[in-house]
Amino acid sequence: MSAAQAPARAMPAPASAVRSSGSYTFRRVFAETGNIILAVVILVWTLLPLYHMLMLSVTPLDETFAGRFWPVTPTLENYRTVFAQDHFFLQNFWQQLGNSILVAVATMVMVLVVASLASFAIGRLKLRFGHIISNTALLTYLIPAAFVAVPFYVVMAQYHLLNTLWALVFAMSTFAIPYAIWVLRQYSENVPFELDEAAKVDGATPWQIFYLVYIPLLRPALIAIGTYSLLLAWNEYLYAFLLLSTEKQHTIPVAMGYFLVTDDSPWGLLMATAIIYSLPPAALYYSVRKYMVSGLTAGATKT
Amino acid sequence: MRSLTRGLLVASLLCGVAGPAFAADLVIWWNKSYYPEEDQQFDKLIAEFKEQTGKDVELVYYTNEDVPKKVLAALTAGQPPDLSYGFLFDLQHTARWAYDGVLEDVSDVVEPLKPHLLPTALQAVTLQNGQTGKASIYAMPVAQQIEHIHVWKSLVEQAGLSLNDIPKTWNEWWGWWCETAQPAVRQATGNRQVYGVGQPMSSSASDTIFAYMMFLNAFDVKLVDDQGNLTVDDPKTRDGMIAAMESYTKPFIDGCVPPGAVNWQDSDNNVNFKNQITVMVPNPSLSIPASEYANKDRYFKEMVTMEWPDKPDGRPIEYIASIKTAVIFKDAPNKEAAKEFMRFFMTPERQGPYLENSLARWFPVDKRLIERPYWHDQSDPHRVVEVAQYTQRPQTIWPQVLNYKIIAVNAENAYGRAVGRVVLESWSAADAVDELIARIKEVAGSS
Amino acid sequence: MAVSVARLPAQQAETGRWSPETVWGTIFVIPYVVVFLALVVWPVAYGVWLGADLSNYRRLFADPIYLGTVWNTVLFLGLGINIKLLLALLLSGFFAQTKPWIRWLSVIFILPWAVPSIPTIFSFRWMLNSEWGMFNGLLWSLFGIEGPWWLIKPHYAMGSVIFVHIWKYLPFWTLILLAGRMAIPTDLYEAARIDGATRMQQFRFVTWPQLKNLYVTSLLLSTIWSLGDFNSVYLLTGGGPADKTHVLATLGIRYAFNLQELGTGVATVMTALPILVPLVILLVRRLGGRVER
Repeated sequence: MSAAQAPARAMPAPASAVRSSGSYTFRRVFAETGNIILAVVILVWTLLPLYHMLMLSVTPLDETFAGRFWPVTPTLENYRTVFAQDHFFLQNFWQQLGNSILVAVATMVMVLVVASLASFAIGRLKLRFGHIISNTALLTYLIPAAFVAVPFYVVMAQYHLLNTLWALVFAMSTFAIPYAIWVLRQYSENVPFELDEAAKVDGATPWQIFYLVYIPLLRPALIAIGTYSLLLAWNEYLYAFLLLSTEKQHTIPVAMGYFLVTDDSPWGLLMATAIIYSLPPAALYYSVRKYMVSGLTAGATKT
Repeated sequence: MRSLTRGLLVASLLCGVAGPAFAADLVIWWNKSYYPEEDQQFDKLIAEFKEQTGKDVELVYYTNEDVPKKVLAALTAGQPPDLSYGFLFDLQHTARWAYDGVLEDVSDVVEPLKPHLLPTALQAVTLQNGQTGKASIYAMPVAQQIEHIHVWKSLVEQAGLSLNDIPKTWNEWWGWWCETAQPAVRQATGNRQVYGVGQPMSSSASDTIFAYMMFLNAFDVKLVDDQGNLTVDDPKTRDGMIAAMESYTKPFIDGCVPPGAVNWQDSDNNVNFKNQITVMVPNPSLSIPASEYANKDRYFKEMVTMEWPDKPDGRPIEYIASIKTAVIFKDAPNKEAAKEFMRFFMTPERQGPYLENSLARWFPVDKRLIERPYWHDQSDPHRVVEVAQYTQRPQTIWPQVLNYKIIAVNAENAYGRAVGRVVLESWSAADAVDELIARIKEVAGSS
Repeated sequence: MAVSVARLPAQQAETGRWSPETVWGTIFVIPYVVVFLALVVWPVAYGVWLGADLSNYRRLFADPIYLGTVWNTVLFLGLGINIKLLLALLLSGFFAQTKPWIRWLSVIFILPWAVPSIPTIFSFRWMLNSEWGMFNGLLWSLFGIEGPWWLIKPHYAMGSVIFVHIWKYLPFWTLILLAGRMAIPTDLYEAARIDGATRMQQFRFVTWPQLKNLYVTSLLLSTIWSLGDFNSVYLLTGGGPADKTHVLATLGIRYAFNLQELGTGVATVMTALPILVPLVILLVRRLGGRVER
């Protein structure tokens, strides 16, 4: 049984299965109280830092924020400044946002194409050295990204790709593809082989099987890894900051990083930028979250 | 599948966006400045140069931290730019690059300027080349920075004190902020979290290095002699270092420095001061008042810039000039064009306006530039003090100019770590200094 | 059709024993092989070469902060990962409830993972500021307590780093374990309930045996990934105070780019290989084997 097939079904809470009875009512109230306390803890835990970001983003730049819980004169001015590129640090905001989008989309495309082809070849066409490839992919998946940053940087210089968006796309794809291959392979195990066989009998070429059978059936998993790689590239800081250097090539996280390396920074603008930048991935995540659980964790849940 | 094709289309567009062009007659990697006007001024100069010479110039701005990284990568890959200027070069790179022989000898550019250059500037670009075993001029001085002191005059006066009452000698001066100003300001403002001294105490801020060097200076410590040999084995040096360490850490131990200072990054002494967490702060540029330039009350009335106190025995302290350098790389394809540009740039009518667009953050190294009216504008309280610091007080240079290996000590900020030993782990200043000396010998010793 | 029939023998002659599947399969894996060779094999080989000079290791071991860094890394992994996964295990039980409001809560709960690291971790940095941060401000105004020196005392600072790491990655692992729980057949629970099992017993005899494998795999994966967690340390403490909160990942980057010693930078992360290699082998066995079977 895998999560891929499992409908969104949850473990029934014991209390809900039971009808009235004194001790059960007590237990139910007890459980519900526990739930609520836990919920409050989770809310505070999750939202306090985000609230702090929000607070800074509506604090006017010339107001001191030290020790405050809410600005004296909250304002949306910082957001306006960001959108209007009305500050030295943000004079390329839209271009940089465009870069972020390009990098994220290109990474997603590259991951989807490369990984789906490779997983099909290994899993469905039973390529002879498939298991070697699949294991080396797994090995890559297991390299901590920060550990190869240094040689990766030098190698990108050798390829003359430093300070191009490609460098970042390649870096992100390198780390996302192995995971994608792995998820796709796990997921595709649940797609019956008979479909391939039937298509083959009908005279379909492997390309047609890939295109007409494999891809449509893997749609949830493809959406999940597409989202995963998109978010990965969208939020990446370390590699982006190492590989991209001119402002016109920066993605937004690098631009945000600059607030940290200079000796005097408009923090309200940093936080306003951050909040604007966080909205698209949050929205994307919510719109595809049902695929995320089933697709992304298809492999992980197999035991 | 349609979305895939669309994606591929985007990807191929991306290909067009990317891809560096390396065909220009002159490639310049310049430090992106802190203020837009400064970059605009430089853009103008480049345009003028292009028009005058008909050369195609590729100019790229990188931030402080990025210029050295890009240069390092470019040198590793064997394709350096022709000309590069970085605010951090002199502290972390120039002397080492000169020693490693990767820099072009630029004597012919700098020699004609010799009569006009400040002695410290000339000294800072005359560097040892390990390949030839000889010293020569390997960099071009563009500007300089030294340590200043900023104070919330408004807070001091609110507390019923006057800046004129501050003692002038070292120990008394620091003591005043801690023992007199801090309690008075706390009482007057009712704010229990305001501190007298904004001393940077961390190993991650270059501010710590700048400030610590001033403390060494106050106690007459020179880490290297005029020949560039380490002096740390000399008991006099050690004693001076211990005294400097005690003096440096005292305000913190006495509770007059925000505890968070042990974690400050370069922006944090600014942030804390601007939030009035600290009454006084040392900083190696005028960035603090400059950032409040738009707020006239703050800039002209509430904040003041001050000089550093005299040494403990009353002699004036030397300011350590950090000379910002531009360099030309030996393996660059267009060295002559780079020199031509620097000759063009290093003239009062071009370099002058460039520096004057930095809100007095960078000070000239060419005497002719200092004579320009900008530096004699008496209406600007911060600039007046700055000019006095540069022109009327003794100046000295950083130790790495004389011994490139000190760069490694600066880079790992061994001083900040020693400070941490004292304030975080309660080591004695002597023990911390002994560890620091051992580390300096390990990193910069003549092995 | 005729064309392809006519062509078939020729094609077979050309490719020898290669079936169309093999030909297509080979074509299909080429993009991945290219990516793998150019972007994994070569950088890794280059890195090994960069770090091969023994003097790099001498330099590293002579660095007074190296041992502390190794210890921090162990602490970071040992505490960070175990606490994180234990919490994830507990919370996954909470989020497995079907109530609609809990679903909504889970939507909020995922935010830390979906939001970029820089501003959130930086936000933490200010909240934890001991003089005027929001945490201590709340402690003072609510309870009149002088809050601890979060980022100042090295132990607290390391604790804060671990805390931030957990905050950031807890949602992801909760999601994984939640998916694991959802995959457990409901009839197992029904059977257990009919046998009169309490909630604790259900967890012990149904949930845990079913989830154990996934939990261990997550533990191993998370260990490896957290070894490369640069952001939590770099953005929160920058390795400070006094270089006392560095982990191998940040120390390596510091060597390579701040100190401009690429070789020592690589050597720094190389010294994690004795931990990393066994973990990787274990994981490849666990994960890879499953697919092949």
